[in-house]
Amino acid sequence: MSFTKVSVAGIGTTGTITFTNVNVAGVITATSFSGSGANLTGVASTDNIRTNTNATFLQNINVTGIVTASGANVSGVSTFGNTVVGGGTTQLIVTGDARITGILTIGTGSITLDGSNNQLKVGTGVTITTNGIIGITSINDGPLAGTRNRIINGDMRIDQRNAGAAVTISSTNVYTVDRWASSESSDATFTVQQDSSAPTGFINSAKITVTVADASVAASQYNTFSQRIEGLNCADLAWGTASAATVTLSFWVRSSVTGTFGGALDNSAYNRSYPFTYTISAANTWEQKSIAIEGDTSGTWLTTNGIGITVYFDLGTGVDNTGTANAWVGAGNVGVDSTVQLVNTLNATWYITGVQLEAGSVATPFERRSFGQELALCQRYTFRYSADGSINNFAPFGLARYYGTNDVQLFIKFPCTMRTSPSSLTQVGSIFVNNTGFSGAALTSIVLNEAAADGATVTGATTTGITAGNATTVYSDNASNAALIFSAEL
Amino acid sequence: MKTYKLYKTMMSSETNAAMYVEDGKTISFMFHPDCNEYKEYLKWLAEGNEPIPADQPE
Repeated sequence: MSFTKVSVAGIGTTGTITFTNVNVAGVITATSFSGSGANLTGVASTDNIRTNTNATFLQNINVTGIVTASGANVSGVSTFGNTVVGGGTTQLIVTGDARITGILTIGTGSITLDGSNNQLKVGTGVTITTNGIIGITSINDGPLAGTRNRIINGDMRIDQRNAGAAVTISSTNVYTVDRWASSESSDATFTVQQDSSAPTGFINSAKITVTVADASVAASQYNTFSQRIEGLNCADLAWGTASAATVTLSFWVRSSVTGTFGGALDNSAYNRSYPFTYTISAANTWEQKSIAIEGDTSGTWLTTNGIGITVYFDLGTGVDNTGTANAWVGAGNVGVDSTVQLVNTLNATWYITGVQLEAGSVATPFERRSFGQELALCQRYTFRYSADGSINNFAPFGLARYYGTNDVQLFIKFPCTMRTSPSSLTQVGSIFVNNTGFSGAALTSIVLNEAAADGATVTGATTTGITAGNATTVYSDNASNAALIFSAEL
Repeated sequence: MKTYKLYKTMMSSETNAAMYVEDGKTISFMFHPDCNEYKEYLKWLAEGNEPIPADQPE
């Protein structure tokens, strides 16, 4: 039924008209609508639903497309699938708690918050965990804290004994550059010398040169380069207990021989060891190596001024003193079975520097210490008391006294307390002593006398006819670069 | 070949140290069990060598 014009009493008034069906081609204008809208269709197909006032939905809103809004306030618990917040200006503001059950990734994966594992990671360099440990590779590419490195003179700058001269190794535990010793018990001979070849950031290395080769090192023979770390300087690692700390050994190395080399960490009794390997890929090229080692929960590890940990680099050792890599074993070893033996090759060279042994499983940048700091650390073990006459003739050593008609006693005060009373003295150059007025004579037979950790007396002989008890002075002999070298090494 | 000469320190009543010359350097050492030079000296002795006795007091 259709109408072209309806004129009914009540339209335009407040009355009510009831229709069963009404088809309207034009616009219906009304002040309100009531009734079920369940069957209203096509409302949004012609255009957006628009409202200039607030809209209230008392039930769910299901949207299969994209919701675009200039702002959104959500109360109660809401579930979002893929949600893009903002456009040109991206902001997500949460007032109150926000909980993410998965991993929150910021950027393109460089920063992650992992609630399941309680970790905050920034790239691969920083990891913060709930146990209070911050794993971080460096701060401003520099040291993270004082004295991380348990190795002293790891960059081989200090050479009090030899001042850069080569030392021929033909016996056991011969000290070369400060704190570093070499041992040789084979048919080979090699030299150790402070060298200026070094990777960027270093000025020195220790250079080993094979001067007599041993093509077949016997089972019991060994050739090593090592440092003995004082127990007081590694006690905190708690080795030998269930709390043994992981350490990382890192170093720069180059060699004329390529292949897999060995080394080991040992205790003082030489009945616990952890052999390790490292590979030199290219000949005569500096390469940096890093080895993480779980702490030893067994054995006896001294925490005194004795040997705490010995770090060995194997230069060619027989099977009696080598073992399987990457595991603690209840025996002493200095290397790994079937690895490169440098001493097999005449004139082979092997350089090392930047040696660092630190707590933790990550190798951090080499700990930089001033020259004076490093020298002071070395002086706990070796003290070179110099009187360099080549700079100033008759450079002074100090005051002494005659205790006999031709015997002189000189007292030396050490600059720091040594590890223990020095047990050896090396005298180099010529030493001169006044006898009467400005005259004097050479001091001979100079030997270590009584010694303590803070000082020692040195005695020597000179011309006869001296009055016992008189004081005198001791110098370098004219232009001689003389020195007294006290050793309290491990 | 090293040649060791014994001596005693001023306050000691008996020989307690030794010295030798090597490469123009004079090395003296105490008879201390942890001293590397002393260990080498003991090896040298074990090979049948004999040191030069200490000087007698004047």
